[in-house]
Amino acid sequence: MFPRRYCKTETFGYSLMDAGVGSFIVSHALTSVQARGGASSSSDSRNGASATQRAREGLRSSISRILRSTAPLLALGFARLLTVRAVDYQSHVSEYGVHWNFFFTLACVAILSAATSRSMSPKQALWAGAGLALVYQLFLSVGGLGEFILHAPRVSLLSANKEGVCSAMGYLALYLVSLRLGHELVAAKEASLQAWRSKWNRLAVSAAANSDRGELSSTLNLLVSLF
Amino acid sequence: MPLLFSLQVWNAILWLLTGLCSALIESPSRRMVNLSYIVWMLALNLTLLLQFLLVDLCIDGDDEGEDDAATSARLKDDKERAAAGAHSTLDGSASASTALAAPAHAPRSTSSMLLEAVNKNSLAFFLLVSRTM
Repeated sequence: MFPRRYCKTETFGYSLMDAGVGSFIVSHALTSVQARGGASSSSDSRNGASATQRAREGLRSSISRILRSTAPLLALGFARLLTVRAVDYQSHVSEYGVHWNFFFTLACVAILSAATSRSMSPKQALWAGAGLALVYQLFLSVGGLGEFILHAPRVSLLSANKEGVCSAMGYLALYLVSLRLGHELVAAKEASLQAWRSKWNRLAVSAAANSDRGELSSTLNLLVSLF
Repeated sequence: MPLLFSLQVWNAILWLLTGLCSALIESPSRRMVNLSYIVWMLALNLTLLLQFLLVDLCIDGDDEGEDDAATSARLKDDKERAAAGAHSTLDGSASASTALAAPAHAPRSTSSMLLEAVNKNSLAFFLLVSRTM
């Protein structure tokens, strides 16, 4: 059996299954075109083409493109909603809400991020994401949104899905910050990794050479310089 | 190294922030996706990425001797071979030599074909492995 302590937490806490959805959003951002686009326009012609193409495209066509690319997610969201209802599968209302599920969150984040980060550099996305996270947290703790999420009765369509709708903001902030991280990683000079590799190899050689002579200081120096 | 070092610094900062946020504001909550949860996710993912990067660097260490000139020469060689291969299959003869040469160049690909196929069909693959979702 799956250990209960790794399962999703009800309201607060760290747990393995809580890390799943957040990590999904982060990896989604890391591998997105927005994160990869700016850095490697010359080396990856496909990304470069889509970036210039996007710049040329009007707002209307980009909206239709976003809707087209998120349509599968929305379809899956509704499919999950229907099937969960149909087979009466156990689902936690307090997780996302009565109708909401993670596919809707993904579609939401995709649409909102495309709408906001289109005109942003990754650096601006970092600040926007950090700002959004702070403002959202302010709303949660001071503005009474947290109270609303945890205790408000589910009367309307919005309040029935309050967790899903509100947490989409948090996921969007996470996505925007991760865009910057992804951009950093892509932009990382291969040269710096290459230098690290050669150091690593030298370390292995020097460790082998020095181990029988007892002169470990140079090896240790190399080891320290690796990290 | 600048990159590894800065990543590690950011990693430490993020874990510190995670501790601070959950101590001063509230524990991370996936239900609300509060600030603590966001920072925790960033820290956790950065840690994982760093570990993958380190393992990748250590395992891939053998490639290091190759400089750019050798790589481009090899690429050129590959192209010529590919052209020759296409030619010989068009002729319908003497493809044995190219078939023998192919496996020697197969490891040049940076990722496996299986991974690339999964990557290309990520949504379908995701649905396949998580049909219990």
